[in-house]
Amino acid sequence: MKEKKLGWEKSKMEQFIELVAEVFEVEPDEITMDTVFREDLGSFSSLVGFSLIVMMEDEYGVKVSVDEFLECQTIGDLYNKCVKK
Amino acid sequence: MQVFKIDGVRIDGVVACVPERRIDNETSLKEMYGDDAKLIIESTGIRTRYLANSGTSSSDLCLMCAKDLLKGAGTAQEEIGAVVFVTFTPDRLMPFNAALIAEKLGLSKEIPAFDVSLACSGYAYGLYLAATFAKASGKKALLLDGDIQSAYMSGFDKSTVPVMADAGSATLISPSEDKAEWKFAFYTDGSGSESLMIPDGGSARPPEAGHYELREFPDGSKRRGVDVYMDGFAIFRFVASDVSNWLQRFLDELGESAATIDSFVPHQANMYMIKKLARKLKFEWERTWQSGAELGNSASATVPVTIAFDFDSKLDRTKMNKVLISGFGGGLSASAGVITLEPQAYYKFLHYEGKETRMGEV
Repeated sequence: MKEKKLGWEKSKMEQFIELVAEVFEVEPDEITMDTVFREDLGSFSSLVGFSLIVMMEDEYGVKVSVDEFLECQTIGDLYNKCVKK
Repeated sequence: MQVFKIDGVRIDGVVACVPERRIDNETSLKEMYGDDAKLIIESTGIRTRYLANSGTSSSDLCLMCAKDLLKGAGTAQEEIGAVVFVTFTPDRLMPFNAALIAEKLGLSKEIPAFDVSLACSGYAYGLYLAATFAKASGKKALLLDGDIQSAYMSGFDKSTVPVMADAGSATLISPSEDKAEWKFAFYTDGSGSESLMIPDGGSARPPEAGHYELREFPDGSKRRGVDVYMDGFAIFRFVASDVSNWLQRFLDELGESAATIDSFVPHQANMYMIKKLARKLKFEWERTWQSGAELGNSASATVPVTIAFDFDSKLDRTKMNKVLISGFGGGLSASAGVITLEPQAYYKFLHYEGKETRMGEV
């Protein structure tokens, strides 16, 4: 039961990473939950940031304000916004 | 979704121009952004823009295009049966630009001539209106689309300065035996009206001296009340979410897709946004017409400007091209059309070099 739940959580994370990879136009295996997206992915800009916020809203129905977004450092921080609400 | 269809029309030609001053963004953004200027340019993809000298008007630019177009397409004044001018920056608030153009081209006094006050979504509206006039009258319709945004743009605004530009265009639409059907759709969301606007100087806030004073805002931008304000994130969200989903539904409704349409001519908001939009609609970048990197974002004129600028590399010379056009921005508003561009039509891109000196003028 526990294992099953873990597996489900993992695929949900994988799904999120795939969506983030699409935004950054990189391969999913270049991204982990610990990736500091403003520094580690090279191509970050405010427009990429806007893309992430819109993706989170469209795919997870969460409205993240620009200020809340600015507090997020890692992909995991973004992921937590999507699964928490 | 309401789709507007019209057949029996074709485009005889598209001529566009940029005004006098070429602005290199790397230099122009340095003062405001410092070392971040390069990042901003990489992010928007807009390297250079063209701005008008003070006093060069939207009708000046479009008149030059119209003169070249009529000559290039071999069209006489009396063949023109309507003039539609799309602009939100007319020469004067009153009268409207279409009257100036009709008079300066020596067109008949007994034809409809009017302006359409739309920003970035304007071209497909203008094309649909001009097409309906051409079809109903059996005469050609002249569509002008141009803006001098720099007249309402602060030089110290972080949202507008990196992208905004000026341009003019003229498009000639003819009645035709051709059976190709053009299809259009339109989208309006007034709840976002304050996301992209000129706050002062309209009838809601009649002009007063204070509207012309520069004010500083929390992001460090400085603007006058009569300058364009843009909430960059709100506009981004509108395009990346609402417009892209709506465009997909428009294509679905028509039974069309990137597989059945030759190419995509998007409004050149900024290169990042249109790249994302094209990707979502499955148009490869090679099939997406572009001008923004060199010419900037000149509001609704970007669609005809891009046609005139990029036809050499994007137009298939061996056949009739079926293209998707779309504009989106202030309103909030969006428009789209699946139209045809013919290889034998007249396409030309020009540089406006200033007002001609007239005889007797000092």
